[in-house]
Amino acid sequence: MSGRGLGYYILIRALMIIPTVLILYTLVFVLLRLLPGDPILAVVGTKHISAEQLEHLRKLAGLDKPPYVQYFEYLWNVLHGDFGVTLAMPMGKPVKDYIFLKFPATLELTIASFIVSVFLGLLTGTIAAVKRGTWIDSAMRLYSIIAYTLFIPWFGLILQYIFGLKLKVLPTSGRIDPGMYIEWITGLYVLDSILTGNLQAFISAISHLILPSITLGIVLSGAYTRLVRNNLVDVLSMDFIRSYYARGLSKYKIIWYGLKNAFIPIVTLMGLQFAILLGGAILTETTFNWPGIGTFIVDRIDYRDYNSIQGAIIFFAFFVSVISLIVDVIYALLDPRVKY
Amino acid sequence: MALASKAVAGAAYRLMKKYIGSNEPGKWMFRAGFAIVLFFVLIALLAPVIAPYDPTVKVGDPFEPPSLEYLMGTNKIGQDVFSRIVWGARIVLYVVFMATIISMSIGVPLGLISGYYGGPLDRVLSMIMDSMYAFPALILAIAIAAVLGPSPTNTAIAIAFVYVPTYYRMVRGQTLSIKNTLFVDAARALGIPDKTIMYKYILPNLGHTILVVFTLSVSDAILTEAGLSYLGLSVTPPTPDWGYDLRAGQPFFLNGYWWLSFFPGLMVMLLAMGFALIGESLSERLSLAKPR
Repeated sequence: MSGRGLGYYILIRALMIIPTVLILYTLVFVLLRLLPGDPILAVVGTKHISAEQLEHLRKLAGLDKPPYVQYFEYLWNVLHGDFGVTLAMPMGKPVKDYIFLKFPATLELTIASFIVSVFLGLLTGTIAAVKRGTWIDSAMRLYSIIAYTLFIPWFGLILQYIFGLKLKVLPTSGRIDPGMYIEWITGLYVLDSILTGNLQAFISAISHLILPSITLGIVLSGAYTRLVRNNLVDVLSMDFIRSYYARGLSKYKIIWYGLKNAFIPIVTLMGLQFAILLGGAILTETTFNWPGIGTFIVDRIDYRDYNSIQGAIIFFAFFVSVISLIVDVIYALLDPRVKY
Repeated sequence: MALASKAVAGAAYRLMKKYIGSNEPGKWMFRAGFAIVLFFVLIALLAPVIAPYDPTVKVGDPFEPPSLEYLMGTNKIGQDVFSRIVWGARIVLYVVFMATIISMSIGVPLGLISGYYGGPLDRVLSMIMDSMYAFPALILAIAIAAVLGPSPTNTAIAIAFVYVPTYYRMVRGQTLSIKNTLFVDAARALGIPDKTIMYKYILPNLGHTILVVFTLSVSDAILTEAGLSYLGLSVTPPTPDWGYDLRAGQPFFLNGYWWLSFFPGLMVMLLAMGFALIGESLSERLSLAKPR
């Protein structure tokens, strides 16, 4: 850190988030406007509406002004938490209300899936590294390839079939049993039910979370398996590991020390994976009727509600940037060699 | 672009010749992947011969379970699921190859130029590409596809955008290391123009890299295509498409009509796995870092 400390690093890194966000914002903005196809006509579809109504829709979408005005005006609004209004079903409702309502569901699902994927990835990768060269190693390799080529909706349906229909142990859709009430504190049902001491709601929320997060978690665990294995194999062949053996440390302790040293590239992957996780979350949410931003986007696609899609995607851009900031900070905390 | 595809095709041919007869570890992965891909390409090419029925019309009662008459059963309209899967292979392969060719022909030259010249252009391009790369591919593709409207060609364009950074980053990185080698220095000393150096000296050495990125990004693109069409952004009915069919059959899956969704989803996974197996074995052989 060359005498400057972590605080300085975090500050610089936080400032660097600005260009990233601006690039993503510009990219989405330009793409959505450059592409052929009139979004307003797409909303209208085959319905016949008057010229005034068309003009009204254009105004609602902010498309009545020249593009450069739109660019800065929308950026200004977004920075103030205003993501525009919906264009259909219902018309004119702030998109941020939906995001506020639905984002906690997406966050809860992604966090749970993230935990599942890291856990499974570490487990399978460690097993493969310890048993390297054996058939177990090959089996783990096959697992990793199969896992990341699984098509999420398909895999989700099969899990629903097994655990929901045949074994009848887990619910297959939604976030909580219908009719159950949870006080809204953070919007993360599992956390809220713990905070309010509502055991019934907690059990319901957890049981609804299991299948979707396992579906998404398994699919994303494949990428970790290979990385953990390869890094751990490298570390386990180093001298300090041999000296641990010489000192008579238990095998599990040695593997633990090895894992700690193999962890830095894994953290980098976590950052990238989190973005992929959000993409996967859209499919998972649709498959499991999970009321998050993913299902919101899909609903809006059906109405061709261009404003809402743009709002939700810009919101994702901000979110991804914040996640990458967090990952970089964790990285700096773990690796004392990181300098700025 | 013709040169790039020649470089890739040459690398692919040499590797295939080596692999098919070799005894190296990982050859089973390559062979299995190759067999799967070949199988689907043949199915797509021979669709009119293989498919027993017209995929777009009602040919039997709805919800017929798999039988000799309907190999994979019929769907809720009474269309033959097997025929739809055979014809659906065409759509997936068309979309994915179109997309890959577009992203290659943008990503490879940009990566070459960026890596070769360096400077401010390189920094700006890298920053844009890194931002795109960090953004969830599926979400970006959804945004583009939603504006373009549902059609296979539009889906290909949406997917193409998403994989440009993958090619760019790989090609740029390799160009950076190759441009400082002796034979490139020699070419420069001889006064050979930059363009020739890039395309005749550096590009042919990138064949392997591009090939690995190609197979792995095709594998990923298949899942993205299926995802987009699952969300209703790729084809309009009654066009047969795996992702779309899976979604259409989903409401009936838990009622016991599993064949409506099971087979289309299985095909998505198999085809993606075919390319992933090839990509994995190649990247291991060439010991390249795995792109996303």
